[in-house]
Amino acid sequence: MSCVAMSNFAKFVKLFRENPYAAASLVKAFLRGSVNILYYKCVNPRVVIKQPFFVYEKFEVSGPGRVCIDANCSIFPSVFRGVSIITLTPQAEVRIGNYCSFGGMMIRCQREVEIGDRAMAGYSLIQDTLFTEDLNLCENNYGQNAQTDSGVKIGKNVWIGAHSCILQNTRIGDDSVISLGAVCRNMEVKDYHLASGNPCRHSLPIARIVQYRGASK
Amino acid sequence: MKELLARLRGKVFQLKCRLAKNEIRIGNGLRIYKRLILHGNGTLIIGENCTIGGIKGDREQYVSLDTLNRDARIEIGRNVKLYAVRLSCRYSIKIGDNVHIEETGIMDTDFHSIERERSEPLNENKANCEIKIGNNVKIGARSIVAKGVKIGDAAVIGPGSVVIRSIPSSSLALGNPAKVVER
Repeated sequence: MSCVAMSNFAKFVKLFRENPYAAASLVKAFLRGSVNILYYKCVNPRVVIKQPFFVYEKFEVSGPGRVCIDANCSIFPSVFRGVSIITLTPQAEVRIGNYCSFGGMMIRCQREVEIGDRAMAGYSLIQDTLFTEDLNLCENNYGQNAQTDSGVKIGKNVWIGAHSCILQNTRIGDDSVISLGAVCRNMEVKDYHLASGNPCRHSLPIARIVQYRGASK
Repeated sequence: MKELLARLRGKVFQLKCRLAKNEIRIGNGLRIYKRLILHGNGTLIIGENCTIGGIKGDREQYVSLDTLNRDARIEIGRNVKLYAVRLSCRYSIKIGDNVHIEETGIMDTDFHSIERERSEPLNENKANCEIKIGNNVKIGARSIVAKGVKIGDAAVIGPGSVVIRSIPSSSLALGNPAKVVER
Protein backbone atom coordinates (compact mmCIF):
# COMPACT_ATOMS: atom_id res chain seq x y z
CA MET A 1 0.00 0.00 0.00
CA SER A 2 2.72 2.43 1.01
CA CYS A 3 4.73 1.39 -2.04
CA VAL A 4 1.83 2.35 -4.34
CA ALA A 5 1.41 5.64 -2.49
CA MET A 6 5.12 6.33 -2.89
CA SER A 7 5.03 5.62 -6.58
CA ASN A 8 2.04 7.98 -6.95
CA PHE A 9 3.96 10.63 -5.02
CA ALA A 10 7.02 10.08 -7.24
CA LYS A 11 4.79 10.50 -10.31
CA PHE A 12 3.43 13.74 -8.88
CA VAL A 13 6.93 15.07 -8.22
CA LYS A 14 7.91 14.22 -11.81
CA LEU A 15 4.80 16.03 -13.12
CA PHE A 16 5.57 19.04 -10.93
CA ARG A 17 9.09 19.25 -12.38
CA GLU A 18 7.87 18.97 -15.96
CA ASN A 19 4.72 21.10 -15.79
CA PRO A 20 4.05 22.93 -12.52
CA TYR A 21 0.78 24.43 -13.77
CA ALA A 22 -0.72 20.99 -14.50
CA ALA A 23 0.39 19.77 -11.08
CA ALA A 24 -1.29 22.73 -9.41
CA SER A 25 -4.54 22.13 -11.30
CA LEU A 26 -4.34 18.44 -10.33
CA VAL A 27 -4.11 19.39 -6.66
CA LYS A 28 -7.02 21.81 -7.10
CA ALA A 29 -9.12 19.08 -8.80
CA PHE A 30 -8.28 16.64 -5.99
CA LEU A 31 -9.40 19.17 -3.35
CA ARG A 32 -12.57 19.93 -5.30
CA GLY A 33 -13.31 16.21 -5.54
CA SER A 34 -12.81 15.80 -1.79
CA VAL A 35 -15.25 18.63 -1.15
CA ASN A 36 -17.75 16.93 -3.47
CA ILE A 37 -17.36 13.61 -1.64
CA LEU A 38 -17.92 15.31 1.73
CA TYR A 39 -20.95 17.21 0.40
CA TYR A 40 -22.69 14.08 -0.90
CA LYS A 41 -21.80 12.17 2.30
CA CYS A 42 -23.69 14.80 4.29
CA VAL A 43 -26.55 15.62 1.90
CA ASN A 44 -27.35 12.41 0.04
CA PRO A 45 -26.05 9.15 1.61
CA ARG A 46 -27.22 7.13 -1.42
CA VAL A 47 -24.34 8.65 -3.42
CA VAL A 48 -21.06 6.82 -2.73
CA ILE A 49 -17.84 8.18 -4.25
CA LYS A 50 -14.41 6.78 -3.43
CA GLN A 51 -11.17 8.72 -2.97
CA PRO A 52 -9.33 9.98 -4.95
CA PHE A 53 -11.78 11.82 -7.19
CA PHE A 54 -10.55 14.57 -9.53
CA VAL A 55 -13.09 17.25 -10.47
CA TYR A 56 -11.98 19.88 -12.99
CA GLU A 57 -15.52 21.06 -13.88
CA LYS A 58 -18.97 21.14 -12.25
CA PHE A 59 -20.19 17.76 -11.00
CA GLU A 60 -23.80 17.25 -10.09
CA VAL A 61 -25.92 14.34 -8.82
CA SER A 62 -29.64 14.61 -8.21
CA GLY A 63 -32.61 12.32 -7.79
CA PRO A 64 -33.67 9.62 -5.34
CA GLY A 65 -31.69 6.69 -6.82
CA ARG A 66 -28.35 5.14 -5.91
CA VAL A 67 -25.03 6.23 -7.44
CA CYS A 68 -21.67 4.47 -6.89
CA ILE A 69 -18.44 5.85 -8.33
CA ASP A 70 -15.20 3.91 -7.83
CA ALA A 71 -11.77 5.32 -7.11
CA ASN A 72 -9.53 7.36 -9.43
CA CYS A 73 -12.29 8.82 -11.61
CA SER A 74 -11.85 12.27 -13.10
CA ILE A 75 -14.23 14.84 -14.58
CA PHE A 76 -13.10 17.24 -17.30
CA PRO A 77 -14.79 20.24 -18.94
CA SER A 78 -16.36 19.82 -22.38
CA VAL A 79 -18.75 22.22 -24.18
CA PHE A 80 -18.77 24.36 -20.99
CA ARG A 81 -20.37 21.52 -19.04
CA GLY A 82 -19.28 19.09 -16.42
CA VAL A 83 -20.99 15.81 -15.63
CA SER A 84 -24.51 15.50 -14.32
CA ILE A 85 -26.09 12.26 -13.15
CA ILE A 86 -29.85 12.22 -12.67
CA THR A 87 -31.76 9.28 -11.23
CA LEU A 88 -35.47 9.39 -11.95
CA THR A 89 -36.83 6.67 -9.65
CA PRO A 90 -35.75 5.25 -6.23
CA GLN A 91 -34.94 1.89 -7.89
CA ALA A 92 -32.49 3.45 -10.32
CA GLU A 93 -28.85 2.49 -9.93
CA VAL A 94 -25.77 4.02 -11.56
CA ARG A 95 -22.43 2.20 -11.15
CA ILE A 96 -19.18 3.59 -12.53
CA GLY A 97 -15.87 1.71 -12.38
CA ASN A 98 -12.42 3.03 -11.52
CA TYR A 99 -10.03 5.12 -13.67
CA CYS A 100 -12.95 6.54 -15.72
CA SER A 101 -12.65 10.00 -17.26
CA PHE A 102 -15.72 11.90 -18.40
CA GLY A 103 -16.27 15.31 -19.94
CA GLY A 104 -19.67 16.91 -20.44
CA MET A 105 -21.56 13.65 -20.02
CA MET A 106 -25.15 13.41 -18.92
CA ILE A 107 -26.70 10.26 -17.43
CA ARG A 108 -30.46 10.10 -16.95
CA CYS A 109 -31.28 6.78 -15.36
CA GLN A 110 -34.62 5.15 -14.71
CA ARG A 111 -33.55 1.50 -14.31
CA GLU A 112 -29.85 0.71 -14.37
CA VAL A 113 -26.70 2.15 -15.90
CA GLU A 114 -23.41 0.33 -15.48
CA ILE A 115 -20.07 1.62 -16.80
CA GLY A 116 -16.91 -0.48 -16.52
CA ASP A 117 -13.34 0.45 -15.64
CA ARG A 118 -11.23 2.89 -17.68
CA ALA A 119 -14.12 4.20 -19.79
CA MET A 120 -13.77 7.55 -21.58
CA ALA A 121 -16.64 9.73 -22.73
CA GLY A 122 -17.09 13.11 -24.39
CA TYR A 123 -20.19 15.28 -24.51
CA SER A 124 -22.70 12.44 -24.73
CA LEU A 125 -26.03 11.31 -23.36
CA ILE A 126 -26.80 8.02 -21.64
CA GLN A 127 -30.49 7.61 -21.07
CA ASP A 128 -32.48 4.42 -20.51
CA THR A 129 -35.90 5.87 -21.33
CA LEU A 130 -37.09 7.81 -24.36
CA PHE A 131 -38.58 10.65 -22.32
CA THR A 132 -37.35 11.81 -18.95
CA GLU A 133 -39.49 14.72 -17.86
CA ASP A 134 -42.73 12.73 -17.54
CA LEU A 135 -42.38 9.14 -16.33
CA ASN A 136 -45.99 8.28 -17.23
CA LEU A 137 -44.99 8.55 -20.88
CA CYS A 138 -42.49 5.72 -20.47
CA GLU A 139 -45.07 3.10 -19.52
CA ASN A 140 -47.09 2.51 -22.67
CA ASN A 141 -45.58 4.00 -25.74
CA TYR A 142 -44.22 3.02 -29.12
CA GLY A 143 -40.86 1.30 -28.86
CA GLN A 144 -41.05 0.98 -25.09
CA ASN A 145 -42.11 -1.84 -22.85
CA ALA A 146 -42.05 -1.30 -19.11
CA GLN A 147 -41.80 -5.04 -18.38
CA THR A 148 -39.02 -6.17 -20.74
CA ASP A 149 -36.89 -3.06 -21.12
CA SER A 150 -33.57 -3.07 -19.33
CA GLY A 151 -30.89 -0.49 -18.74
CA VAL A 152 -27.50 0.24 -20.28
CA LYS A 153 -24.40 -1.88 -19.67
CA ILE A 154 -21.01 -0.64 -20.84
CA GLY A 155 -17.89 -2.80 -20.52
CA LYS A 156 -14.29 -2.00 -19.68
CA ASN A 157 -12.05 0.37 -21.62
CA VAL A 158 -14.83 1.75 -23.84
CA TRP A 159 -14.42 5.03 -25.67
CA ILE A 160 -17.69 6.97 -26.17
CA GLY A 161 -17.48 9.76 -28.74
CA ALA A 162 -18.99 13.20 -28.49
CA HIS A 163 -22.63 13.97 -29.35
CA SER A 164 -23.61 10.30 -29.13
CA CYS A 165 -26.70 8.93 -27.42
CA ILE A 166 -26.93 5.54 -25.75
CA LEU A 167 -30.55 4.55 -25.10
CA GLN A 168 -32.26 1.61 -23.44
CA ASN A 169 -31.53 -2.14 -23.96
CA THR A 170 -27.94 -1.53 -25.03
CA ARG A 171 -24.96 -3.75 -24.15
CA ILE A 172 -21.49 -2.59 -25.11
CA GLY A 173 -18.58 -5.02 -24.84
CA ASP A 174 -15.03 -4.45 -23.63
CA ASP A 175 -12.53 -2.33 -25.64
CA SER A 176 -15.15 -1.12 -28.13
CA VAL A 177 -15.65 2.37 -29.55
CA ILE A 178 -18.87 4.35 -30.00
CA SER A 179 -18.22 6.86 -32.76
CA LEU A 180 -19.13 10.53 -33.03
CA GLY A 181 -22.88 11.18 -33.17
CA ALA A 182 -23.95 7.54 -32.96
CA VAL A 183 -27.35 6.68 -31.48
CA CYS A 184 -27.58 3.13 -30.05
CA ARG A 185 -30.88 1.61 -29.05
CA ASN A 186 -31.97 -2.03 -28.61
CA MET A 187 -28.63 -3.41 -29.73
CA GLU A 188 -25.56 -5.29 -28.62
CA VAL A 189 -22.05 -4.18 -29.51
CA LYS A 190 -19.57 -7.05 -29.15
CA ASP A 191 -16.07 -6.87 -27.69
CA TYR A 192 -13.56 -4.76 -29.68
CA HIS A 193 -16.13 -3.45 -32.19
CA LEU A 194 -16.81 0.00 -33.62
CA ALA A 195 -20.42 1.24 -33.62
CA SER A 196 -21.43 4.26 -35.70
CA GLY A 197 -24.40 5.88 -37.39
CA ASN A 198 -27.74 7.33 -36.44
CA PRO A 199 -29.61 5.01 -35.91
CA CYS A 200 -26.76 2.57 -35.27
CA ARG A 201 -27.52 -0.87 -36.77
CA HIS A 202 -24.31 -2.82 -37.25
CA SER A 203 -20.96 -2.75 -35.52
CA LEU A 204 -17.64 -3.45 -37.25
CA PRO A 205 -14.72 -5.42 -35.77
CA ILE A 206 -11.86 -3.02 -35.12
CA ALA A 207 -9.20 -5.69 -35.73
CA ARG A 208 -10.36 -6.04 -39.34
CA ILE A 209 -10.50 -2.25 -39.90
CA VAL A 210 -6.91 -1.95 -38.72
CA GLN A 211 -5.92 -4.85 -41.00
CA TYR A 212 -7.49 -3.22 -44.09
CA ARG A 213 -5.66 0.00 -43.40
CA GLY A 214 -2.36 -1.84 -43.15
CA ALA A 215 -1.60 -0.40 -39.77
CA SER A 216 -1.03 -3.76 -38.10
CA LYS A 217 2.07 -5.83 -38.75
CA MET B 1 -44.29 25.45 -3.63
CA LYS B 2 -42.34 25.21 -6.89
CA GLU B 3 -45.55 24.95 -8.87
CA LEU B 4 -47.06 27.95 -7.06
CA LEU B 5 -43.99 30.02 -7.96
CA ALA B 6 -44.18 28.81 -11.57
CA ARG B 7 -47.87 29.75 -11.77
CA LEU B 8 -47.09 33.19 -10.32
CA ARG B 9 -44.35 33.74 -12.90
CA GLY B 10 -46.75 32.68 -15.65
CA LYS B 11 -49.39 35.12 -14.40
CA VAL B 12 -46.86 37.97 -14.29
CA PHE B 13 -45.68 37.12 -17.79
CA GLN B 14 -49.28 37.04 -19.07
CA LEU B 15 -50.01 40.47 -17.55
CA LYS B 16 -46.79 41.90 -18.96
CA CYS B 17 -47.66 40.68 -22.45
CA ARG B 18 -51.21 42.02 -22.18
CA LEU B 19 -49.95 45.49 -21.28
CA ALA B 20 -46.93 45.78 -23.55
CA LYS B 21 -47.40 43.62 -26.63
CA ASN B 22 -50.77 43.03 -28.23
CA GLU B 23 -49.54 40.48 -30.78
CA ILE B 24 -48.90 37.95 -28.01
CA ARG B 25 -51.89 36.07 -26.60
CA ILE B 26 -51.39 33.73 -23.69
CA GLY B 27 -54.01 31.46 -22.13
CA ASN B 28 -54.65 30.97 -18.43
CA GLY B 29 -52.76 28.52 -16.25
CA LEU B 30 -49.29 29.03 -17.77
CA ARG B 31 -46.47 27.66 -15.61
CA ILE B 32 -42.92 28.91 -16.10
CA TYR B 33 -40.33 26.84 -14.23
CA LYS B 34 -37.37 28.36 -16.00
CA ARG B 35 -36.90 31.57 -17.94
CA LEU B 36 -38.70 32.10 -21.22
CA ILE B 37 -37.08 34.25 -23.89
CA LEU B 38 -39.05 35.90 -26.70
CA HIS B 39 -37.49 37.65 -29.69
CA GLY B 40 -38.97 39.49 -32.65
CA ASN B 41 -42.34 41.11 -33.27
CA GLY B 42 -44.38 38.30 -34.83
CA THR B 43 -47.55 36.72 -33.52
CA LEU B 44 -47.42 34.26 -30.66
CA ILE B 45 -50.43 32.34 -29.35
CA ILE B 46 -50.11 30.01 -26.35
CA GLY B 47 -53.10 27.95 -25.22
CA GLU B 48 -54.30 27.09 -21.74
CA ASN B 49 -52.42 25.07 -19.07
CA CYS B 50 -49.05 25.07 -20.80
CA THR B 51 -45.81 24.21 -18.99
CA ILE B 52 -42.44 25.75 -19.80
CA GLY B 53 -39.25 24.55 -18.14
CA GLY B 54 -35.64 23.54 -18.46
CA ILE B 55 -34.31 20.02 -18.97
CA LYS B 56 -33.15 17.94 -16.02
CA GLY B 57 -29.45 18.16 -15.30
CA ASP B 58 -28.64 21.05 -17.64
CA ARG B 59 -28.80 24.53 -16.17
CA GLU B 60 -27.72 26.37 -19.31
CA GLN B 61 -30.70 25.56 -21.51
CA TYR B 62 -34.09 27.28 -21.51
CA VAL B 63 -37.06 27.80 -23.83
CA SER B 64 -36.66 30.48 -26.49
CA LEU B 65 -39.38 31.43 -28.96
CA ASP B 66 -38.05 33.55 -31.86
CA THR B 67 -40.12 35.20 -34.58
CA LEU B 68 -37.90 36.52 -37.35
CA ASN B 69 -40.33 38.96 -38.98
CA ARG B 70 -43.76 40.55 -38.59
CA ASP B 71 -45.66 37.85 -40.51
CA ALA B 72 -44.28 34.98 -38.48
CA ARG B 73 -46.84 33.11 -36.44
CA ILE B 74 -46.30 30.57 -33.67
CA GLU B 75 -49.38 28.73 -32.42
CA ILE B 76 -49.14 26.47 -29.41
CA GLY B 77 -52.17 24.45 -28.30
CA ARG B 78 -53.47 23.42 -24.89
CA ASN B 79 -51.66 21.31 -22.23
CA VAL B 80 -48.36 21.59 -24.11
CA LYS B 81 -45.14 20.84 -22.22
CA LEU B 82 -41.99 22.46 -23.58
CA TYR B 83 -38.67 21.63 -21.92
CA ALA B 84 -35.63 23.54 -23.24
CA VAL B 85 -37.14 23.91 -26.73
CA ARG B 86 -35.78 26.44 -29.24
CA LEU B 87 -38.32 27.61 -31.83
CA SER B 88 -37.27 29.96 -34.60
CA CYS B 89 -40.05 30.91 -36.97
CA ARG B 90 -40.10 32.90 -40.21
CA TYR B 91 -43.42 31.67 -41.66
CA SER B 92 -45.56 29.59 -39.32
CA ILE B 93 -45.21 26.87 -36.71
CA LYS B 94 -48.29 25.11 -35.35
CA ILE B 95 -48.15 22.81 -32.35
CA GLY B 96 -51.26 20.84 -31.37
CA ASP B 97 -52.70 19.87 -27.99
CA ASN B 98 -51.09 17.60 -25.33
CA VAL B 99 -47.66 17.75 -26.97
CA HIS B 100 -44.50 16.88 -25.00
CA ILE B 101 -41.18 18.17 -26.37
CA GLU B 102 -37.76 17.92 -24.71
CA GLU B 103 -34.53 19.75 -25.68
CA THR B 104 -35.26 20.17 -29.38
CA GLY B 105 -34.58 22.75 -32.06
CA ILE B 106 -37.49 23.51 -34.40
CA MET B 107 -36.91 25.91 -37.31
CA ASP B 108 -38.98 26.52 -40.42
CA THR B 109 -36.33 28.24 -42.51
CA ASP B 110 -32.77 27.65 -43.70
CA PHE B 111 -31.77 31.30 -42.93
CA HIS B 112 -29.44 31.43 -46.02
CA SER B 113 -29.38 30.14 -49.58
CA ILE B 114 -26.82 27.58 -50.70
CA GLU B 115 -25.19 29.98 -53.19
CA ARG B 116 -21.90 31.71 -52.47
CA GLU B 117 -23.54 35.01 -51.52
CA ARG B 118 -25.38 33.37 -48.60
CA SER B 119 -28.32 35.67 -49.30
CA GLU B 120 -31.98 35.14 -48.39
CA PRO B 121 -33.25 31.70 -49.45
CA LEU B 122 -35.01 31.98 -52.84
CA ASN B 123 -37.53 29.16 -53.12
CA GLU B 124 -39.00 29.39 -49.67
CA ASN B 125 -42.60 30.35 -49.17
CA LYS B 126 -45.24 29.78 -46.58
CA ALA B 127 -46.74 26.77 -48.36
CA ASN B 128 -43.61 24.61 -48.38
CA CYS B 129 -41.99 25.77 -45.16
CA GLU B 130 -44.62 25.74 -42.47
CA ILE B 131 -44.30 23.16 -39.72
CA LYS B 132 -47.31 21.37 -38.32
CA ILE B 133 -47.06 19.17 -35.26
CA GLY B 134 -50.23 17.24 -34.46
CA ASN B 135 -51.92 16.36 -31.18
CA ASN B 136 -50.35 13.98 -28.61
CA VAL B 137 -46.92 14.07 -30.26
CA LYS B 138 -43.80 13.33 -28.17
CA ILE B 139 -40.34 14.42 -29.26
CA GLY B 140 -37.23 13.19 -27.44
CA ALA B 141 -34.10 15.01 -26.37
CA ARG B 142 -31.40 16.40 -28.72
CA SER B 143 -33.46 16.14 -31.91
CA ILE B 144 -34.04 18.69 -34.70
CA VAL B 145 -37.16 19.38 -36.77
CA ALA B 146 -36.45 21.05 -40.13
CA LYS B 147 -38.63 23.12 -42.45
CA GLY B 148 -41.73 21.82 -44.21
CA VAL B 149 -42.28 18.88 -41.87
CA LYS B 150 -45.70 17.67 -40.85
CA ILE B 151 -45.86 15.27 -37.92
CA GLY B 152 -49.11 13.33 -37.59
CA ASP B 153 -51.18 12.79 -34.46
CA ALA B 154 -49.76 10.58 -31.68
CA ALA B 155 -46.37 10.13 -33.35
CA VAL B 156 -43.24 9.56 -31.26
CA ILE B 157 -39.82 10.89 -32.31
CA GLY B 158 -36.93 9.26 -30.46
CA PRO B 159 -33.97 11.07 -28.92
CA GLY B 160 -31.18 12.30 -31.19
CA SER B 161 -33.15 12.20 -34.45
CA VAL B 162 -33.14 14.74 -37.29
CA VAL B 163 -36.60 15.06 -38.88
CA ILE B 164 -36.45 16.36 -42.46
CA ARG B 165 -39.44 14.54 -43.99
CA SER B 166 -43.04 14.23 -42.85
CA ILE B 167 -43.87 11.53 -40.31
CA PRO B 168 -47.24 9.71 -40.48
CA SER B 169 -49.55 9.56 -37.49
CA SER B 170 -49.14 7.02 -34.65
CA SER B 171 -45.63 5.84 -35.51
CA LEU B 172 -42.17 5.79 -33.94
CA ALA B 173 -39.41 7.52 -35.94
CA LEU B 174 -35.69 7.47 -35.21
CA GLY B 175 -32.37 8.39 -36.75
CA ASN B 176 -30.75 10.88 -39.11
CA PRO B 177 -32.76 11.28 -41.36
CA ALA B 178 -35.67 10.12 -39.19
CA LYS B 179 -37.33 6.98 -40.53
CA VAL B 180 -40.40 5.14 -39.30
CA VAL B 181 -39.33 2.13 -37.20
CA GLU B 182 -42.64 0.92 -35.79
CA ARG B 183 -46.23 1.69 -36.61
